[in-house]
Amino acid sequence: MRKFLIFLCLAICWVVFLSAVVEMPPFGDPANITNRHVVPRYLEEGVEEGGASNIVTGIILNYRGYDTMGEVTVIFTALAGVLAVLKREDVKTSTTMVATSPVGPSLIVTTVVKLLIPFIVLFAVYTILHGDVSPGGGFQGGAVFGASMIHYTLIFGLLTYMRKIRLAVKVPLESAAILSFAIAGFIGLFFGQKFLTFLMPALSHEAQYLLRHAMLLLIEVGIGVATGIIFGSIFASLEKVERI
Amino acid sequence: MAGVSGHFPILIVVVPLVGAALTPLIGHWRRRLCMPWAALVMLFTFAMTAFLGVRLSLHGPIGYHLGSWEPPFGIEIYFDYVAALTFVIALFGFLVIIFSKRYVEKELEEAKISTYYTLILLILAGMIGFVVTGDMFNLFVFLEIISLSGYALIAIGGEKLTAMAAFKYLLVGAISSLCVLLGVAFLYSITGTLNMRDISHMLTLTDATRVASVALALFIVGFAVKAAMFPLHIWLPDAHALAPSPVSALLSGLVVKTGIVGMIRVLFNVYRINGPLNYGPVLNIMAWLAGITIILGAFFAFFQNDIKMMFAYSTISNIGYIVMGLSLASYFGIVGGLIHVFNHALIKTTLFLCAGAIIYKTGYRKLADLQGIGKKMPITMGAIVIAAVSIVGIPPTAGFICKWFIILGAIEAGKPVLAGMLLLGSLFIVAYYVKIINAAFFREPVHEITEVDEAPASMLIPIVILAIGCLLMGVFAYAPLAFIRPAVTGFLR
Repeated sequence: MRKFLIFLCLAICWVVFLSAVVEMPPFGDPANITNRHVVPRYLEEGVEEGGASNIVTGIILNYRGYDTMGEVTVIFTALAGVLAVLKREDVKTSTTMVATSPVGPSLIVTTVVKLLIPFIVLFAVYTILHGDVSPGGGFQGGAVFGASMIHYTLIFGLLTYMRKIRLAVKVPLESAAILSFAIAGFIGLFFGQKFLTFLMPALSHEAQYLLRHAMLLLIEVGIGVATGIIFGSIFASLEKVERI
Repeated sequence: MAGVSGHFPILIVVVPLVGAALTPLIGHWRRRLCMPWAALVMLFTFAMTAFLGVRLSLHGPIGYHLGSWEPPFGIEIYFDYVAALTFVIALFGFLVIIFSKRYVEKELEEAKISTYYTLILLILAGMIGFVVTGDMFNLFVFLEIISLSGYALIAIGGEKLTAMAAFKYLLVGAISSLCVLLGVAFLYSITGTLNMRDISHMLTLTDATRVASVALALFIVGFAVKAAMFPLHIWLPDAHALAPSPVSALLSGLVVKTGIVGMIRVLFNVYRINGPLNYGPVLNIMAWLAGITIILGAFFAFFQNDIKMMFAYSTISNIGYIVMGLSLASYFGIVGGLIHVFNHALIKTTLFLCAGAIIYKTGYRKLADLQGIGKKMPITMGAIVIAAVSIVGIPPTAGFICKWFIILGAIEAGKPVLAGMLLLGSLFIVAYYVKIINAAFFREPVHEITEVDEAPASMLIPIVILAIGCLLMGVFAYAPLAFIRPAVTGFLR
C-alpha cells in the first residue's frame, strides 16, 4: 500500500513535470529567450568588460560575483557544520586508524605518494591560475589541492598531517575565500564604486586593467586555497578517532 | 568617506559575513572574545539596518547594483518595505547572541564555542542577504547558507536525539532547496533572466504559462517546507525543540520566516499573483492548508508535556496564520499576515529564550517537573505570561491586531469558514498557554527547586527587552504598518 502511494505520487509529479518540459523552448535554439535577453551581452562584451578571457569565469567572478561569494560562504558553512557536529582534530585527543594499526604502509606506497604529491599540487596551482583563460579556476583547483592533502593523510596518518599543517595556519586560510572576496569588494568602495566593482574609472586605462587582473587573481587564489584547506579539514575531522 | 551610507544595503550582508569568517580566527586567538565580537558585529549591522529603515520610510525603496552592473546583467539588492525585516533580524540576532553567552558556556563543549558564534553570524547574514536580495538565484544561494548553518546549529549540542532531528531536517530541507533551485531553473528557461522585477515583467510576455505554473508550485513547496506548513511540517517540532534554546529562538522566531519571505517574494513580487495572469487555485489551496496548519499545530501543542515542544508546535500553528493571511490576497489579510511575521518573531523569540533560561537554571523541561517555577523565577515566568497573552491575542497585546486583521481579511475575501478555523485554533492556543501558566504559578513544586533563583543578568536583559517589546507592540500596534502598508499597496497594485 505504502509503495503504491509512493508510486502514485511520483507518477503524478512525473506527469506534471513532463507537461511543463514539453512546453519549454527547444534546447539550443538561438531564438530562445535565454539566448536573446541577458546572454548576448555576456558573450559579446564579456571578455572586454568581464575581464577574463574565459567567459564562464567572467560571469561567476564579475557579473555574478556576489553569488560566488555566497557559494564560498556555503563551503565555509559546510566546514563550520562539520566542526559543530564532529569537532576539530586535536593533537592531544585524536588519533587515526592508520596510526593505531600494527602494520604501517609499505615503502612502495609511501615513496610513490611522496613523489606524486608535488605533481598533484602543481596541477592544482595550474588549474587555479589558469581559470581565466581555460575551464578551471579556484573551486576546481582547490578540490585537486584538497585531494592531495586527503591522499597524504590517508597514507601518512592524521598526526603527520596535523604536524605539517598547523592550526594557526589552517584557521586563517579556511576563511581566505570570503576575506579575499571582501577585500576585492571593498577596493571598489574605496574608489567610490559599488561593492565588487572591478573597473575603476578614476584610474588610468592601464592601471584599471592591472588592478582588475590583480583582484580577479586574488579571488581565484583565495577560493582555491580556502577550498583545498577546507576539504582537508573536513576530511581530518571525519578521519580522526577519539583516543580513549 | 561621506558616501558610505550609500553602501549600507550591501554592508548589512557583508559585515556579518566577514564577521563570521573572522570568528574562528578570534576564537583561535582568545576564545572568550568570540561572543563580544559577534555581539559587536551584530550591533553594527543593527545600526545600519536602522539607518536604512529610516531612509526607506522617508525616500522609498533603495536599489543597489552589485559590481556596478545594471540589472538584469548583474545582481541587484533591492531594499524595499519587506526588506525592513532585516531590522528585526539584526536586533533579535544581537539579543540572542547576548543571551547565548552563559547558555553556551554551560551546554557546549569549549572547543565548539567559536564554531557556535560563527554559525550564528552566518545564519543571520544568510537571512539578511535572503531578505534584501532582488535576484532569484541569489535568493537560493542565501537560502542554502541559512539551511546549512541551521542544520549544524541544531546538531551542535552533540546528543544522539539532536543529531537525529538535524538529520531529519537536513533530508527534508535538501529536497526543499532543490525544489527552489529547480523552480529558478524553470523560470530562467522561459524568461532568460534572474532579476525578480525583470522576471515579473518577462512573465507577462511569455506564453509558456504551464512552465511558470509548475515553477510556482515548486517554489511554494520549497518555501512551505522552510516555513513548516502542513503537511510539510514534520521536521519542525523535533528540530526546534531539541536545538539549544537560543538557536530554537532564532529558528522559530526568524528562520521559518525566511520561508514566508520567500513566498511573499515569489507570489507578490515575481508572479504578481493578483495581476492579470491566472495561475489557478494556488492561493485557495494554500489558504485551506494554512487553516489545517493552524488547527493541527495548536491541537498537537495542547498534548505536549515538554515546554519547548509546545512552543515548537505553536510555531506551526502561527505559521498557519501568516500563510492564511497572505493567501487571502486581500488587503486586510496580507496586512495581518505581515504584522504577524513581525509579532510572532518577537513573541516566539521571547518564549524560547525564557524556556532556555528555565532549562539553564533547573535542567528540567517537562511541564510536570516545572510546577511552581513561577515563584522561583518570577521575571522569566512573567515574560512567558506576557508573551503567552500576546500570542493568544488578548486585545491590548501584540497578537490581537494581526488575528483581527486576518479574520477581517477572511471575511473580506468571502471565506468565513477560514475565519472560523482561525478562531478554533486560537481556542486551543488559549488552552495550552493556560496549562503552562497554571503549572508554573498555581501548583506545588514536585522537585526540590528551592535553591533555584532568577537567571543571570545576561539572560534576563534580552528577555526583559523582548517582553517589554511584546507589551509595546500591543500599544503601538500600528507602528509596523508604516512599512507594511506601502508594501501591501505595492503587492495589490
